Amino acid sequence: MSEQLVLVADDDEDILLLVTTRLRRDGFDVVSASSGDRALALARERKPAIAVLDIGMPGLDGLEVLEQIRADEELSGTLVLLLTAKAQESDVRRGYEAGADAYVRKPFSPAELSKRVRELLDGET
Amino acid sequence: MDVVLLAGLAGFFVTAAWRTPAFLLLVASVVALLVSDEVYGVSSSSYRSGDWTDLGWLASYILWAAAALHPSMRELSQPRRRRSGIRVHSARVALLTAALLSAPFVLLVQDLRGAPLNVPAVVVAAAAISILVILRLRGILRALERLRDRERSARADAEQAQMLLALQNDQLVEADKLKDEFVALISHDLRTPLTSIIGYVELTLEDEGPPLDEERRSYLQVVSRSSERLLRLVDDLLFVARLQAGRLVLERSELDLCLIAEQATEEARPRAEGKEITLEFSGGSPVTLYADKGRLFQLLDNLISNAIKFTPAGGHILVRTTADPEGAVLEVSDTGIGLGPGEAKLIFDRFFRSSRVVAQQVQGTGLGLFIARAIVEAHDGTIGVSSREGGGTVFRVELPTRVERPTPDQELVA
Repeated sequence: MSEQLVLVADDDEDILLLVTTRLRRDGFDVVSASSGDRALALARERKPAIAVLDIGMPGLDGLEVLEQIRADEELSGTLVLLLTAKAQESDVRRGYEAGADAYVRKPFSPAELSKRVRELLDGET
Repeated sequence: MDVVLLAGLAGFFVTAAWRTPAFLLLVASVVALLVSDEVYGVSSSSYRSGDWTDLGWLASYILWAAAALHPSMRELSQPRRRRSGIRVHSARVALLTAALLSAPFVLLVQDLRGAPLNVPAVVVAAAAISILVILRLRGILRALERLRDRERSARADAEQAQMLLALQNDQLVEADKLKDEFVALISHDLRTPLTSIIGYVELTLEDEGPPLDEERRSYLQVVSRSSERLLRLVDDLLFVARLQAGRLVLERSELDLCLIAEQATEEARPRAEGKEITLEFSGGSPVTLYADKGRLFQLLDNLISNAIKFTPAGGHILVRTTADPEGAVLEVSDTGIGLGPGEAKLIFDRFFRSSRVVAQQVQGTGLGLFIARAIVEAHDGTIGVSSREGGGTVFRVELPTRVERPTPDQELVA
């Protein structure tokens, strides 16, 4: 199903590949972006069911991409999961205030992340 | 002559040195001299050399000599060390005035008695007294001047110190900023590579069969365990840095301590079983707290990990939660090595590690219990430890319950 398309954005190529590989193994369709700008463009083009966004990216960061997605009526159904390496609790609050559906702190277990994505999508449908 | 002596005596009183034995001897000798003089003055007509009044003068001279020889005379003859300032008491001014007035007073008495005036003697005495008084006054004025100078230089020093302080303050602010940047660096730049290490090892370990044989799998498991340890260390250091900066902010919400304790116990179970330790949880009804869930989990994890670390194979660990009207109680007890004498006071200190632990090469940084205490105290609770008879340790945490509301819903969750 096209709702199962997952967009993953992280400026760290290794982590991008890690998350992408894990999600693909678990049966998701995955598109990946190595920057916030690319992520936003892909989101508008492919309309993924869920976007997994790293907060700390150069250019448009994860929170800004999230805000843009929330401001876009065509993307109103998109779920957003934020990834962050920052341990600051204030980031979590900012993320939720900006409309994030979930939050996963780095470092994370790829299996756990995949499980969260699955839970979010199942909760939605 | 007697009047001059009296004035001099008064002067000594003014110097406030009158408590020394030498001065008391001096006073006694002057008094003896004055008494003898007066007796002689009254009965001068009947005086003959070798009379009994001579004894008074004799006693006076002996006392005089004794005063001069007494060790405390040194103190009396030296200028007194100035105290923080000179004090211009009204009593001292009165004494000076009295000394100055003694000459006219003598003149008046002589006149009233109709006695003949010895003008040169009175003039010499009055001049001597006046000179003494003026010297004394000059001393006081000089002392005042010195005091003012000292005050001026003290004020200049204070201003300089303030400037220095402001400068140091700027440097401290700068250092604090550098520390914050460093903490942020650790936070981000250590966590990102750790994500890759932990994640890829996990991905690799999932692949069953070739090309990964058991031996290589065990190597990767070491990498995985070590990464987890490194991550824990990074987290602990970050926590302490934030705590030291006074930036430990609790994200409080309503939660069930019983549930969190059970989850923490379950999470630690594989580690306990790996060491052949029985790990048990005992919780009754829900214990509702208004607290930081993540931090309470960290607290429990620290206490349980600590127990696992110090309990030998075949041991037993019990995690227990109870609630009473006073608050929530959390206990983690073990059958481990226990505490050495005097260690109970030290174990919550930062970087404290028991000498036995170091000797046995048990891994750790000495931050776990320090962090545990910080979390408990941030929640206005208390943490205590006691060693059990025959080995083993009990950690007891008491947390105030803001909300105590066991509902059927929560029981279902628990």
